[in-house]
Amino acid sequence: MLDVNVLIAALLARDGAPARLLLRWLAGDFELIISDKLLSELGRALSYPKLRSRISRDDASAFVELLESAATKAPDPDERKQRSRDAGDDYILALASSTSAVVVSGDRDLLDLRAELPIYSPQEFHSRLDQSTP
Amino acid sequence: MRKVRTTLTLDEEVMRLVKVRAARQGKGDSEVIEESLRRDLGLELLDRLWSGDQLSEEQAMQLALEAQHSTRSRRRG
Repeated sequence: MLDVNVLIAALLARDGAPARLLLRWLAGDFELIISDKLLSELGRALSYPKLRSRISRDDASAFVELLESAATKAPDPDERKQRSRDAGDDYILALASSTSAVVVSGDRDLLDLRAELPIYSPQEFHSRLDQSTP
Repeated sequence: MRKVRTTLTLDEEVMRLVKVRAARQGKGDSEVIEESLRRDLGLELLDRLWSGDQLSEEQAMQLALEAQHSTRSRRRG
């Protein structure tokens, strides 16, 4: 799973690891899991005023539609167990757990859980893909 | 970007429409097919977004985190 911050960062910096991950997903190098909650959070975050000059409303909608059409949608689990310092991240952890997915995030609150859970920074996950791709 | 030569097997009707569109738009068949694929694969959208002023990877992540957390707080509040 790519956290909302990774998806947005991918749109803002063509040369960064998040953008490279987005292209690798489009090329079929890994399966991207999304959910209704993740798409809702992405939609809200994309409407953040400071992003508007860089990502138009139409492009934001088109990006959400691209994810809806090409990513794998999973149901959000009911689980409400608090695992992250930021309770707002818990739905991501619950979804990752229910789908056996790894989480890729730039959020320190999640990255600090790396010892316990399969969570990677965009750079780390990109390196893992490089190692696993012949 | 470097081009590669490839061979595709397409439905006859699809190819006919490609040729019609190519003729109307004064483009080659390959260009029409590539444009359609870029659109369908999401590359057209990314090309458009990435054609503007680019942030560094670190700046992009900071702004993305700010957008994610600010809109979360607003929702809860």
